[in-house]
Amino acid sequence: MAIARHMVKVNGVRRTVKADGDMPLLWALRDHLNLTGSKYGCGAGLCGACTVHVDGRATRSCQVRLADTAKKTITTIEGLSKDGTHPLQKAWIEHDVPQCGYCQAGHLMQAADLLQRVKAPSDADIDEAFRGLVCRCGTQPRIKKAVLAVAKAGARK
Amino acid sequence: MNPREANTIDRRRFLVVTAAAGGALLVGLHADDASAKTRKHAKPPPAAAPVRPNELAAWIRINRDNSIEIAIPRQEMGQGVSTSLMMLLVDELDGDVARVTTYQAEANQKYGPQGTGGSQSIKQSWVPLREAAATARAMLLQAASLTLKVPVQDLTVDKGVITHAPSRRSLRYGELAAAAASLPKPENVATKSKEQRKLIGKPMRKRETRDVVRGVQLYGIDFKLPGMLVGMIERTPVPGARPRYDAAAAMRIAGVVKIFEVPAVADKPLFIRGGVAVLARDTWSAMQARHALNVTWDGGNANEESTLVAAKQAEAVQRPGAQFASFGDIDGALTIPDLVAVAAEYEMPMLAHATMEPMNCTVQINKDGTVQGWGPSQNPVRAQQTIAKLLGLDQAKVTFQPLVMGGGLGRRSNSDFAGEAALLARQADGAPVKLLWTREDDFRFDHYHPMTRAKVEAWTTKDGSLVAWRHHLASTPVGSMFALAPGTGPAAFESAGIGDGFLYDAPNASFRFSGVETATPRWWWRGVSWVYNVFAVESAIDELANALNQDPLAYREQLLSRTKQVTRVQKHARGDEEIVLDHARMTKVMQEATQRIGWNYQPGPGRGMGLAVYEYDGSYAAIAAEIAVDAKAGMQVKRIVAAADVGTIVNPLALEAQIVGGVIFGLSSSLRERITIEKGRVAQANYGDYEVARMPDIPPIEVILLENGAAPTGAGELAVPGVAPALANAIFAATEIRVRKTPFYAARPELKPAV
Ligand code: FES
Ligand code: FES
Repeated sequence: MAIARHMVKVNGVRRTVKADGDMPLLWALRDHLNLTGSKYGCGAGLCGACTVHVDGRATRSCQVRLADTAKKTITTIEGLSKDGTHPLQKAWIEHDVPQCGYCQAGHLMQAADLLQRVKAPSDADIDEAFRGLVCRCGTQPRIKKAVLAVAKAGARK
Repeated sequence: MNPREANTIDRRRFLVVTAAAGGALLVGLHADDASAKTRKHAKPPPAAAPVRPNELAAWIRINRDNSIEIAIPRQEMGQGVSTSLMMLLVDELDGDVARVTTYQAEANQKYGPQGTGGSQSIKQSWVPLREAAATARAMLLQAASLTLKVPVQDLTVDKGVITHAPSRRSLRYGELAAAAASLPKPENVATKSKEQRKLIGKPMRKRETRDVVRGVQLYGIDFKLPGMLVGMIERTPVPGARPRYDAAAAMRIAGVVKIFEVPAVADKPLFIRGGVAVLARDTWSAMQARHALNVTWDGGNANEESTLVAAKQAEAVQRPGAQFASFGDIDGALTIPDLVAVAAEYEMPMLAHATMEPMNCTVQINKDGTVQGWGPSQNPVRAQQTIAKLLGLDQAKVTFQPLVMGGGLGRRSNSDFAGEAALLARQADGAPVKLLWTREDDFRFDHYHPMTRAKVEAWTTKDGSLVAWRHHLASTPVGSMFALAPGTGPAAFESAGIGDGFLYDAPNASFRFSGVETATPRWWWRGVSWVYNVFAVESAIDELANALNQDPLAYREQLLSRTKQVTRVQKHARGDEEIVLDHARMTKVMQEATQRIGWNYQPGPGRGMGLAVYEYDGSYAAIAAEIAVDAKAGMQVKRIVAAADVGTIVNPLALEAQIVGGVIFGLSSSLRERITIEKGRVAQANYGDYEVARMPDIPPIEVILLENGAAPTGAGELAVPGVAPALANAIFAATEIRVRKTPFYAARPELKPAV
């Protein structure tokens, strides 16, 4: 548990965090880098509220040690797009997806990962992709609708 | 005081329209004695007396530059209240939505009720907010008429611009604000008719979504102040236990500032556990320090077991219990020959709220003795009062700013977490402290939805006349979490949908209650007592239909067609209340839901449909579900249709979200959720052992919103209670197995789908 300087590349910017290397990435982002968009929901990899992209893949940031992020590229919800115009962000607004919104950063990051891998996801693909996430407000039907709408628009291009 | 005004919110508040600095117009309430700050007025000032803006809880502020600021006194937790209350005000004002900003009002009794729960915000705001805005609009029109020297009736208003068409002149609200504020306030201004409304009834998206999708919406947990410490508490796992711990080891963790014990606070309804507290410079240090403390506990009451509570409840419902409502004479009625009888008992476990954002609250004690609090709360005034009380201060010394909640679900109506934050801040030498619960804290130290058992006996004639209904509810009551007012019945917080609220017309009925106390605290949970009462009633109605060999839909239609409405008078310490159960509205909702699902009681082998109908504080809902059961794959919910009648619809987009969210919440608890107490401790700690519904559990959900001219009633909890009985009834239709206990997957493991 030694305090050390850790270099992390977050949302395209190199940043330094002086902290315990065992600190989960989630708390480094939230407490040290002032990126509070990634949320704490369980701290145990069970809810997905903390989901970010590590080297492009959806990852639970509460399950990644800060010390293990040195050579990785991290994208958080704040970096999903420059100005909130990622097609998923636009679809989320269009479909009025969030209720309390707390889980939505995780859902958006998971959705972006899904659409990168599967251009035209089926219902079952979506069920599987989001199985690891929790939304207590019950926004899942609108999430599904928004993801399918973005996939469809992507297919048209 | 004008009596009409007096009745709009409460007797001590005046609607005020007044001027503010910079030529702005304020519309809001002035309280003569309701808040500590204004209590010094010996006598209520006359309504016409000038009111200083800072004494006014302003809902609307119209600025000279034409912008409109709206204070949202109710609490936002995703239900969209900041959008819908804004719609009520701006529609009636004929303001320009594009120029409106909203903000969360700070805790202040001057605003009227700020507590948000029980699906009450729209219902209670409907008249006073629209009347306030209509009054302001009338004054702006009057000011325009005086300025332009034309009669009011020749003016038209749209989006904050008043136009005199014949002379092609127009004035903006901002230009008129100061002049309007100086006019005498008109009385009894009419609000708009349905046809005149421009916003109410039309879908409006939540504005907050722009911030949410960029990750910049600020929740309580995100709140930061310079020099802020993070506080955590290793709480006493069973009441009365004493800790042993290694404070030195915890202090060696980098970033740890202080270790100390916090006392338990037994005050109702807080039930603060106490324990060993950590103050640290960041969250991770605080978490590690908790670990390093290596706390072990001696003594305390470790005897509580869910199984024992269940056994006590099973025993209690066999005894007479306390009767809280009755009609007719059951014993006399049972002499009717050839009755068909059904008797069954229905059980539900304790449930956790598990809001996605765990409890948190920030408190700072300033050098000058004032205290500031910030946090997600469904009841900011209660949070403010709790902080003041635990610090031994006058309420006027404490401010509390509510922050956006990552879910409320009833949990945040309590203020134990605000009290804990105050206890930690007291040890922080003036530094602000953000108290944070981990998810494990949140599951283990929740104030839970009560555990219940209902025994129902019902008798019907062979042709389906409901003759008698005997209902005995045993619950670990929410009511005993409060110091209840004298005269409050034992079942006051447990009897929604039964007793005088019983939907059906049973000429002979008796409703009884037995409280089974536990050391584990209980609290309101989305849907409150409707959840267990509707489960019992709508399951038993289904059992009656089956005993009569009738289709449950046809049976309900027949039951509801006998009377147009049932009216019962409920006696309260505060006066009598009339409960009207409108069978025509109920029937309509039921027919819409069943038509949409294509009602067919047994649509095929291993398939079934189930129905539940109920009234919820003036709102009506019907839930129809279709399920499939397969010996290998378990149960699959195929479809759920929810039909709702909540009177006038304010924002259909938000209403649909509330109904869908309610269905999913009900689905989650019916299928999966359960808190158990073992050796005095809650056995579940995280989303791994407390299962909730996730994407694969969720079937297509269709919502039917019935437009109805009646004043709006609540929607936030409406859909929750119908899901468990609709599913249980569908399971019976598909399998002839009656499930009388939730969660269904635990009660009937063969139903649980294989992953
Ligand atoms: S906080 Fe990381 S999965 Fe829940
Ligand atoms: S929107 Fe509230 S938890 Fe998902």
